[in-house]
Amino acid sequence: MAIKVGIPRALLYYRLYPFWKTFFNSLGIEVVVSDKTTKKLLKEGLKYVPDEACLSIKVAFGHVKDLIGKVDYLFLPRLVSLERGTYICPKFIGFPDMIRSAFDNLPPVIDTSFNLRRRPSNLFLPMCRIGRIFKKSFLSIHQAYKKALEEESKYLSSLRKGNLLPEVLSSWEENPPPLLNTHLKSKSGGELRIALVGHPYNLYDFFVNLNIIKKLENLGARVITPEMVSPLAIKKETDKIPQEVYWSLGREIVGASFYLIESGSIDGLVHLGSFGCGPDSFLRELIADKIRKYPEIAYLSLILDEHSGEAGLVTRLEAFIDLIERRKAKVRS
Amino acid sequence: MKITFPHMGTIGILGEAIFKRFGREVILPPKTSKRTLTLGSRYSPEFACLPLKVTLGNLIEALENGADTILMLAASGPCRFGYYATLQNLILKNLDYEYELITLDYNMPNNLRKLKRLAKRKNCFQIGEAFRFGFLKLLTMEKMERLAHRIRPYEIKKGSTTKAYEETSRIIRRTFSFKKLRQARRKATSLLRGVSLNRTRNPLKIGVVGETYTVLEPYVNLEVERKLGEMGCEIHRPVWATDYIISMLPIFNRWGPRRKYRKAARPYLKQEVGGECIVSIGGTVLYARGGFDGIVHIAPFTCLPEIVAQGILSKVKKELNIPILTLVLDEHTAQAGLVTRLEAFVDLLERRRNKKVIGDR
Repeated sequence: MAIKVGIPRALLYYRLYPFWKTFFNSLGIEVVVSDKTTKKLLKEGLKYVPDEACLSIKVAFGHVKDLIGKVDYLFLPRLVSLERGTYICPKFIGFPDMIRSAFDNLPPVIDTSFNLRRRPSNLFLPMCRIGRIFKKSFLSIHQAYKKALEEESKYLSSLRKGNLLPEVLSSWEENPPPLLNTHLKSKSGGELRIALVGHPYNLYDFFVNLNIIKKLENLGARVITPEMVSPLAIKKETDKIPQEVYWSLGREIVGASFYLIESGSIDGLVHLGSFGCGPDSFLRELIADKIRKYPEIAYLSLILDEHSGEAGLVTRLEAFIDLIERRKAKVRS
Repeated sequence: MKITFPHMGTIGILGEAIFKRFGREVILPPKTSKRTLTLGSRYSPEFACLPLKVTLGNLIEALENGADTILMLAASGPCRFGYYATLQNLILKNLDYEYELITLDYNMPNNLRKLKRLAKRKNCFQIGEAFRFGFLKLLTMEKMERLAHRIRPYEIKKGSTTKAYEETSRIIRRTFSFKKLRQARRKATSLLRGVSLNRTRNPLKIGVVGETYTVLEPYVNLEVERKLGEMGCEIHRPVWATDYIISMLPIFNRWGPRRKYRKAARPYLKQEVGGECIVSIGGTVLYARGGFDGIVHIAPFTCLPEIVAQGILSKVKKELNIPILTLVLDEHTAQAGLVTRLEAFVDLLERRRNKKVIGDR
C-alpha cells in the first residue's frame, strides 16, 4: 500500500501543488489533499487557532484538522524563503510549530526548511531531505525533482498566458472542486478589465473570498491576477521602490499592480486582503499611494474575515463597477 | 541639521548622547502622549501594528518642533519593522513635511559612510568614544530600571520607587561626559537604595515577555511593569534595549544575548521567526524552569511574530505548568480594563502559590 502524504488546501497550495504532487507521485507516494474550504471546516480549525491570527492561518488550521486521521504523513514544509533576499511571512516560518503546539494527535509532520534567501540554487537539498524520510535513493529523488521542476515551469507558463489559476490547477488535481464559474472557461469575459490583486490563498479560495472572481465576471469584467504578469515586469517595477518589499508574495502583488497601473490596461483595481494580515496592511498603503496619481483607475480595497457577508460584498462590487462604467461613459461623451 | 528619531523606551538616550558628542543638535520628540497616538493612528494604515503608529506620531511631533533630519533603522524582514522607515517616509511626504531621511540597515559599510557624514569631521577614535559613551549611558539607565524592578514590590510607601526612579533618570539624562556619568550613577544608586523598604514581604515573581517596542515603551503598555510592581510582584524581563542593539550587530546576532533563549525555545520553535518571537518563547521556558509564578506576554495587535509566539506559548503553558496572561495592545486599550485583568491575574497567582505551599506539606 502506498504511503499517503497529506497537503492542506491552504496557504501556498495554490502555487506549489503541481510541484509537490509531481515530486511525491514520481517517488511512488500518494498525495491526499484536504477538502475544499467550507464553513464547517473553518469552524473546526477556529477551535485550535490563537485568536489573533489572520484569516489565512485560521483557514489553514481547518485544513490540517481535516487531514488528521486520513494520512500517514502531514506535509507542512517550513517555507522561510523561496527567492533571493525575500521572506514569505513570519507566520509561514512558524506555521509547523504552531500546528504542533495546537494539535495533540498529529501524524508525523514533514517540516523541512526551505530557505533560499542566501542561495537560491539550494532547492535540491531540502527535497533530498524529504525524499530520505521515505528511504528513497538519491537517483530517484533527483529524477523526481527534475520532473517536478518541469511540471512547475509548465504550470507557471500556463498561468502567464492569461489563464486563471483555478482553471489551470484543475488539470493537476485528482478530483478538482467543481469550477463554480461556468464561463471561467471562456477567455473573453466582459469589456471591463479589472485587476484583482492579493495573496493567492485569498484570491483562489472560493469560500474565503465568496467567489469574487465569478461575481466580477458576472458583472461584465475580465479579471487579471498578479500571476499573469511576468516576473521580469514585476522586478522592473519593484526596483523603482526605494526599499525592496521583502515578502515574496507582497513583492509580486506590489510589482504586478504597479505594472498594471502604469501600463494603463486596466479600468479598476481591487485589492483583496484578509483580516489581520500583516504584510497586506503595508502593501495596501503602497498601492493606494501609487493609484492616487492615476485618477482614471478606480480602486477598491476589500478585507475578508470569517464573517464576510455575501450581500455586502455584492453591493460594493456593483457600486464599483457602476462607478467605472459611468466614468467611461463620461469620457466617451 | 537638527536630528530626531522616535522613542523606544529609554533608547533615545543613546542617540542623544552620541549626536551631542558629534556636535549635532538633537530634537527628541516630546514624551509619547495621547496626542502622539492620535496623530499617529490618524495617518497610518488601519491594520498597521501599533509601534508604527506611535513612532509616526513621535516623528510628526518632532518635525513640528523644528527637526529636519530623521534617523530610522531598517531591516530586510520578515517582521514588518524593517519597512517602517520607507512607509513612514511615504506618509510624511504625503503630509508635505520637509526633512531628510537617514536609514541605518544591515549594510554596514553604507552605515559607516552615513555615520561619518553625521559625525562632522570627527576622527574614528572620537566616533568610537561617542558610541561607547552612549552605550554606557544606556546601560546605566537600564541598571537603574532593573534595580527599580527589584525593589518596587518591597516599598513601604506606594509610588516612592517610581518617584526615585524618575529622579535618577533625570540625573542620568543630564550628563554628557564619562566623569559626570560616574558621579550620576553613584548618586542615582544611592537615591534608589534610599527608598524605605519592608524586606519581610515575599513577592510573586513575574516574567514580562513580548515584542520589544511594546515592552520597552511604558506609555504604550500602560505602565504594566509599574502596576505589577505596585501590586507586589517582582518583575524580570528578557527584553532590554542594550541586548536588542547588540543582537543587531552581525556577529552578536548568533552568539550574543539571544543565544540562550534560542536554545531554550528549541523544543518548541526550531527557527527564528523574526522579531522577538524566539525570545518570548525562550524567556518563558527559562522563567518557568526558574520557578517563576507567572508570565505576562505583551504584543501589539496583528503583530506577526508574536502571534506565532502566542500559538506556541499555549503548549508551553500546558507542559511547564505556568500561567500566562497575553495582553494584546492597540490604540484603544483602556486603563481600567487592563488593571482589572492584572489584578485578577495576580490574585490567581497568589492563590496558586498558597495552594502549592499547603500541598507541599
